[in-house]
Order: sequence, then structure tokens, then C-alpha cells
Amino acid sequence: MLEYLLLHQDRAVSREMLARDIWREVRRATPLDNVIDVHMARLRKKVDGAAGHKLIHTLRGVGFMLSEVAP
Amino acid sequence: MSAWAALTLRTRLAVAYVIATSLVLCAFAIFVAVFVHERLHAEITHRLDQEVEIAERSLRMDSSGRLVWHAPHGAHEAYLPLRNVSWLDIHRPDGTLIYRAPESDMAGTAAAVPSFEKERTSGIFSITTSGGVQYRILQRDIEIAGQRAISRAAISEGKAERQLDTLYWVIGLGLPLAMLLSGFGGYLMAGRALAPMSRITAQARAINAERLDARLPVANRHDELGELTVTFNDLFFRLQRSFEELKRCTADASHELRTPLTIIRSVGEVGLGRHHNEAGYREVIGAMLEEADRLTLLIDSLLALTRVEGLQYPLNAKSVDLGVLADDVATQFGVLAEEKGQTLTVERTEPVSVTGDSGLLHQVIVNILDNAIKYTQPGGRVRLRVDHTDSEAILEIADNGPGIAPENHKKVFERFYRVDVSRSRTVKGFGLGLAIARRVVEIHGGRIEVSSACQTGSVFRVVLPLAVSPNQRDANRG
Repeated sequence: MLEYLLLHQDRAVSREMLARDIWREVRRATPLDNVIDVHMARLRKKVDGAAGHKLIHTLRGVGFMLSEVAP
Repeated sequence: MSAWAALTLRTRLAVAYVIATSLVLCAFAIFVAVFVHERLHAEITHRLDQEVEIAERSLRMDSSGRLVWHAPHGAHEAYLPLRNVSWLDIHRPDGTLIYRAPESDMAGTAAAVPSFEKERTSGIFSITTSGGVQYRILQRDIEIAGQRAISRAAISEGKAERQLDTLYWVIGLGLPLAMLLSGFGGYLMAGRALAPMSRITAQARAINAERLDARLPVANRHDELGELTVTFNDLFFRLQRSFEELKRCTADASHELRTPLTIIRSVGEVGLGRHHNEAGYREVIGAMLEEADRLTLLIDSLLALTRVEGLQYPLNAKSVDLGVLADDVATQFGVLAEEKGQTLTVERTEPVSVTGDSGLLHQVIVNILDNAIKYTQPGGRVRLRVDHTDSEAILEIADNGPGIAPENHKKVFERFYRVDVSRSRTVKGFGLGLAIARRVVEIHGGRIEVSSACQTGSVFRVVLPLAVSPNQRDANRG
């Protein structure tokens, strides 16, 4: 997932994209969205942790973005 | 169509009834006429025969060797008055008269007695005299001590003819009358028999989509019409049920679609209402997009349901190992249980193969497991178990959550049904997951059950027909 975010650096990554490209799941279901959220939360904890400068941003209604600057 | 088909059933029944009755009556009338006719003739012949025999006993041979009428106590004493025949005479073969009766009052009837014809052979025959009287005549050869004589006895056929005429009149008048009466009766009877039909027709006309709860009147549930009515009522019941389900589903779907739209609208109005900084506007747009997302998900779920509802059998049927599938799902969704501190275990020992669409079956396990994780309290336990009997594959998903009250066991599989309405916004979902799961299991020829008691947790059990495993096939072949 981190790799995927790095590949799409500075661009918004939607849950739909993650489901399709990482989980190889075309059908989208609520549970999968929840799974993605959990994984993203864990990744965020590892990447950003206690660091003051956040790299992973949540775009409400769109998805996530890995970027040095906040959107 | 013929004119016959254009008639009402009642008329057709009546006409058929008349035809059948008339045929029977005609046959009977012909039989009676022939029988009576024959009886009368036989009776006449019998009487003539008797009369002639009695008369013959009075014949004697005189001294010259000729046959003469012998009446020891007077002219006619030996022979009784003619009670049974019109006249009687006896001739010698040369045509001379031996005896004739009646003798005294021949004046009136003599002309009516046909003259003796020597050439005529003996037997029974009919003759019409010049006076217009028809006689039935029995002519017989007599031989007494080598002497021949010929006797004739006759009965006027007038009486018999009159009797026959009366009979023919009775038949001729009675038959049409009987046919008319049977037609009338048949029409009435058909009307009586078909009366429930008209009531059913009238009642059925009143039943429409708005009044599906109406039922047809059942007059007698044991006859054919009653059976038909009961069948129709059954059909109406099923129609009513699916109609109501459809109505409820449409209402629920509209409600579910309406909620996100209302939120989008009100969020938009708030966003427009006052000035925001960039982050504020992002927030507003984000909130609207989230609701739009929710709408998309709902419509996706509805489409998924519609798709599986339309299926009769899985299209991409392959051999699928339920255990492997359960493992996949558990690996994928285990994080959700993990997040809630629940333990998720998969119990499976040997491969359990079913034939089906792995994508759809995957969806079934996901939908049930997601519910189990969602509704079980943090720190709870969720267990996936795959097993099989001789002919069935069994997948059990058990939790120790709040359980489902028995009265809701059937309802949880209905579209948009959610046990706890108060949680419907806080816990994600539309109440379509189990409906989809049930339909998918059904098109795979299986069934889905829930057994649960409040406070002790729920067990969802999916039972599917077992596919013949390669091992078994080999064993059978070997």
C-alpha cells in the first residue's frame, strides 16, 4: 500500500483504486472500505507516528494522498 | 371459431344435454313401437290359431266320405260364438263351403268376407276387402282321415291399427315435449351448476393491484370449481405477498436513497450560507462526496441484489473449496476483528468442494462475517467452521454477540431489514448483505439458516450440495 501511495505521490488515491489495484476486487463492498481504512490507519501510524510533519493525508470524500505538503 | 364456440358454456351444456336425452328417448320410442307392433301381430296370430283349432274339432266324415260340419246338438253348438275372430269358414279343396260363421248375420258382413281362393297357399296374410276392411287371415290345410279341407279365420285389423295409431300419436307428441322439457331442465341445471362461476368472475374482476387481499368465494371446496377457486386464492396469496415485499422494498430503497441526498443538500446549503476559508470548503465538499459515495455503494448493492435475484443458477460454476474461500475471507477481513480486539478463527480439516461461482460465494462469506464482526462487542469471538456430511457442505459462522431474537430469524434475510434501527446510521450498511447471501446460496441449490438466542450469540449456517471431489470420483471409478 505504501508502494502504491509512493507511486501515486502528490495525487489523490481513492479507496476504489486501492480495492481494484491491491485487493484485485472489482466489486466494492462496505467491508472492504473498512479494511482499507484499518490498513491505512496502521500505515499512517508507522509512517507518520509521532512525527510532527504528516505525510499521509486524508481527503474527505475522496481518499488519501501521500505528499510532503498538506493539501 | 365456430358458432358453437361462440355460445355460452351454459347454452352448450343445455344443448348437449338435449341431444343426449333425445337420442336415448328416440331409441326407446322406436323400440317400444316395434315391440308393440310385433306383440299385436303375435297376439292376433295366436288367437286365430286357437280359433281354427277349436273349429276343426267339429268336422266329421259323413257316409259318402266327405267332410261335413258335425253339430250333435244343433247347428252351431259344437262351435262357440265367435268371440275372438271376426269370421271363420271351412271349405273343401273344390271350393264348396263346409262351414261358415257367423251364419245368421252374414247379410251385413257377407260382402265383407273375401271369397275363397283355392289357389292361395296356406299361411298368414292380410287382405283388404272391397268394403275397405282390412283382415288378418290365417289359412290352414286340414286333413282328416285322408280328406282335405281348408280353414280360414280372420280378425279385423282395425282395432290393432287404432291401438298402434294411438301409440304413434303419443310418441309423436310426447317426444318433442320431452325434448323441450329436457332442454329447459338442462338449461336450469347448467345455470345452477355454473352459478358459482359467475360469482367467481364478478369477484375476480374486483381484484386488482390495490385490492390483492380480496379472495374468491369458495362454495364447495370438494368440487372442481372449488378446487379451481382454492388454486386461484393461493395464487392471489402469493401475488399479494411478493407484491407487498416489492412495495416495501421500493419504499425502503427510496428512504435509503433519500437520506444521503438530504444530507448532501443540507451540507451544501450550510456551505453556501456563510463564508469559509479553503479548508472549510474542502470540508463541505468532502462531506458531500462522502454521501455521494454512500449513494453509489447503495446502488451498487441494489444492483448486485437485482443481478443475483435474476439468476437461476451460477453462471461461472467451477469447483470451489469452501475452506480455502473461508481462509481467504478471514485473512482479508481479519483486520476488522483485530481492530475490535476480537478473535477470529477458521476451523477446517479436509477440502470441502462445492460447485459454484467463487466470486458470489466469497461475497456470501464476506457479508455474513462482516455482520458478525460488526455486531459482536469488542473482545468477542467469531468462529468460521467448514465441514461436510455425506452429501452436504456446511459453512458455519458463529459469534458470541448479542444474538437475534427468534421472531427476527426470518426477517434478517429480507431486503433492508435491520434488527436494531437505532444503530442504522452508526453501524454502516443497508441491510442488503444477508438478502444477497440468501439469494446466492439459493441459486447454488443450498439453504441458509440462523440459530440464535439472545445474549449467547448467533450461528449462521450455509448448507450447499457437496461437489463430487476428485478423490471420490477416482474411488468410484476404481
